[in-house]
Amino acid sequence: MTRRPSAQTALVLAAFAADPPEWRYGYALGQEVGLKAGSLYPILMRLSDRGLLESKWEQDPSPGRPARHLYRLTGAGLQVARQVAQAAQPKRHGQAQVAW
Amino acid sequence: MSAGERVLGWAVRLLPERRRGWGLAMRAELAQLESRGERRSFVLGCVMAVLRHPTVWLGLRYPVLLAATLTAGVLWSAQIAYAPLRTAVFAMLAVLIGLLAIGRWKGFLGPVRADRPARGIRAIGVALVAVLAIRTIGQFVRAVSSFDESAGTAAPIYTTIFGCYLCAFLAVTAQRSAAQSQNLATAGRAAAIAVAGWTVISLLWPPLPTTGAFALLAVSAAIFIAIGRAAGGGGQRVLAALTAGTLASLVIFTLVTVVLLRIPRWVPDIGGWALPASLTAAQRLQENQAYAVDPYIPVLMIGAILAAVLAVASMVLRRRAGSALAGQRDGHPQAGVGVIELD
Repeated sequence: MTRRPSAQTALVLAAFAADPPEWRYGYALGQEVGLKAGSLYPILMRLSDRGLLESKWEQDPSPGRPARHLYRLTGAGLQVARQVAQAAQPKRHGQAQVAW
Repeated sequence: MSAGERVLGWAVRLLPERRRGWGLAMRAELAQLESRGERRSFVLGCVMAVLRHPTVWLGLRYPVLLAATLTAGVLWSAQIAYAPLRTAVFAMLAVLIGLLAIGRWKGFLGPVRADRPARGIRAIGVALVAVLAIRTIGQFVRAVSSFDESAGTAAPIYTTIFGCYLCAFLAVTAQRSAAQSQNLATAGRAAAIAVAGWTVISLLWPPLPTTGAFALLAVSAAIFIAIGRAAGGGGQRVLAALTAGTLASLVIFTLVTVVLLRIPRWVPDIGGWALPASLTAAQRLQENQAYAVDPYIPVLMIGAILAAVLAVASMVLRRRAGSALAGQRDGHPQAGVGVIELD
């Protein structure tokens, strides 16, 4: 099925794609793209379900605080993020819609 | 723990098992936030994210159904004018619905296993108890006399009996029950064979026998068939036998009550000459319906005793299995390491 990701999902993908190897915290990412937790977490869950996002637990959490979760794009996720970024630019002839 | 952490903790519990990691991730992020406003906004957002998850609403179907059943039962029993009896009926509803709720949680009674025999036996058991409970409450609602006896004796006894049956069916079909799936299927088949035999003897031609002896024979047959056919050691055979006996007793008693209530031709003239000649045919039928069930009360009681033993046996055997597992874990340190994955 070919479906355009929502503007919010595109924002999240773009934020991840800006520095693909970097692991991100959920709250900091939400601040960066201007999304509240209520919008951000469902997007992260969907991306994770589709294999576009990988995650791990923080290795050295702050003392007395639980380990946080870290996220970054998978190879497939990076590819989709680039397609979404291209599709967001002015359309040229023959450009395909992003499938994800 | 702050109020926000508590609220988020409750909310993430609504997430399905495979999404629990996301709940932990949200709670860990909350623990990093210092500003009150940020924390409040984050908790609100996370609660919204949880509530947007479709399976959360699917998961709420069962509690809503139980709450609706309890409400309907309370409204129905409100017709009972005698307050102690009304309270006793409410207690019955609360106990049975409470047990059904506990049957969904992890523990001795739940949740139900994925295999078909376990699901089948639990569904049939719960349905039969529901039928009998509705019939019993209906009798209390319609009663015009003996209120004291009903409130002080009958209602608590029926609550105990139905509670025993429910506990047994929930415990033996719970995820951590030691009963093997094939033995639950064997127990179900043994009960079906025994009930079929009793049906041939008792229900093929009217009236219903005025003795419960055939029914007790059928229950015994169910137990012996299950013992003979169950696989595994003594514990497995005991669980299968008790399950078969419990199920057969409950099915036979339910059939008796339904037949007496719905098919007048099968109602024996058990009152006979002892009933006043002045009674109309309808009154006579009503009296006979009430008395004809009495010979089968021992079947229900014996089934309840089997059920109580089955519930205890399921818990004891499960505890042993749990201890063995703990022992295995002690020997294998890796087995004790928890790995939390998002999906």
